[in-house]
Amino acid sequence: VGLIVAKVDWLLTQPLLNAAGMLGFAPEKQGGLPPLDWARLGAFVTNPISLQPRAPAAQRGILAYPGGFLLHSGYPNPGLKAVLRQYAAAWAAAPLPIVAHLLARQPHEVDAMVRRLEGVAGVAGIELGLPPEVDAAGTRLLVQAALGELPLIVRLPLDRVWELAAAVREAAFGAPLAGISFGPPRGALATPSGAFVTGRLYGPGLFPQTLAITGGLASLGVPLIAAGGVYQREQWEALLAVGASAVQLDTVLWRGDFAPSE
Amino acid sequence: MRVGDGWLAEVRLERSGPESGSVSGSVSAWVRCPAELIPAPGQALAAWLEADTAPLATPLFLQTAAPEGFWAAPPLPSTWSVGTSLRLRGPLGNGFQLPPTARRVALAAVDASPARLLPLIAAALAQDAALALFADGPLPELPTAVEFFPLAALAENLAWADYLALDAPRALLPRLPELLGLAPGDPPPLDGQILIATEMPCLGLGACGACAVTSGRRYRLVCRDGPVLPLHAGLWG
Repeated sequence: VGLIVAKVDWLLTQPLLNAAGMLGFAPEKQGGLPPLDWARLGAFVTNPISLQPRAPAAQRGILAYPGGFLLHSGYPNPGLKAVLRQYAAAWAAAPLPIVAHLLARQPHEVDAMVRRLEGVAGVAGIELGLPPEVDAAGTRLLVQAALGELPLIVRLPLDRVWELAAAVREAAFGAPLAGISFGPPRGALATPSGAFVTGRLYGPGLFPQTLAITGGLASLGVPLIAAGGVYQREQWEALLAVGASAVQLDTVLWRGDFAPSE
Repeated sequence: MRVGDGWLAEVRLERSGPESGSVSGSVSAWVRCPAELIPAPGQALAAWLEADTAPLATPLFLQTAAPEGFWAAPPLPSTWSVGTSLRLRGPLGNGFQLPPTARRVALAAVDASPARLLPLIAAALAQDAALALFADGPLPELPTAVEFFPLAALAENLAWADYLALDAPRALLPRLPELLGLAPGDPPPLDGQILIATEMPCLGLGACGACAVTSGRRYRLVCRDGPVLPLHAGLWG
């Protein structure tokens, strides 16, 4: 009640997107490789962008496990100002709408980034990536700070969607919300030296969880952009069938030859 | 960079020790693939098993040329077997560029097989350069023109070389000054390049940052800016 769903064409006409962190900051040709038919994606989601530059995490790397892998990178990026300097022209000329993924830490930072992006050519939406430790109150503050002229997608970690979806819905009361997307859940693994590393989880093993959450939240009244463990056409078709408005593809895109029609 | 298919025409397993029973890290393979996919020395080629949905690729590096493909250097998964079909993407990134003027070439493998440096041997010999290989552990068969030394001898022989090609894991970058006999903060005393061994999960497509190395006051992505970087890139501060 009171929720306004932003009717964005790029979600309605083509229900496949890339997930943030999978294809860089702009839909450029990668080293001369044209692996993706951009017209098959509804929009391009950028790598996570923070207000200030972020250095790589000290313990960055990956740890594989049966069913997937843990990735810890610290989301290094040059910061919004440098991203705009490097990629604004590519966004303006992009063959598909750009969704800027913003790393949310403080409401005033989110507010500053969203206002700066309003009016940037090619940017058709914002995806707000919440910090892993955020609670419901913090979620409401960050979402409210991100509401503006651009359609807003709020990305919740897959393992916390149940807990935080209601807070997103409340925060967007009376304002347009394009959807809730699912980000990678977090986990921990031991390194060969015995130290524990925490990070984001990716891989086919997540898919049953993604499917269950999507089906369970379909009645929430918020468009769901499902993601997590999607590697085959049958999987995203299943997510759409149980109520997802769109599906984000993550590490399957790193194969470089992914064709959404397959 | 292209995408294509290949397959494993031969797989060699060498046990790391007579008692260990382990073959991890000592697998090499003859990869049959189109010529345009063969990586140059130091470049990577991403490989996935065709019948698998495993999310992570195995990066392949050139060890030696082979008919209709190439020998991929270890380490490779010990589960790979002859006849397996591969999906390939590459070649990726920047490889070694042996300077045409190099006449005394040093190759050094740090905590790794020297296999990924072997393609430089033919290139160096073709330009009449003298060659020295610094490595520990088992060695492949080498041309007689190549002198071999343990890795510990690298520092005392560095003044002899006019080009150094290193292969080292990212985790050991802070220890390279000690290995090269340099004082902290000293730049490398010669021209050279370093192949940085590290995980590259997105292999250039995502700029995911997992393979980042600090380079002076900024960072570089091994998958995009490397895997071979200049020795003078400020990689150890």
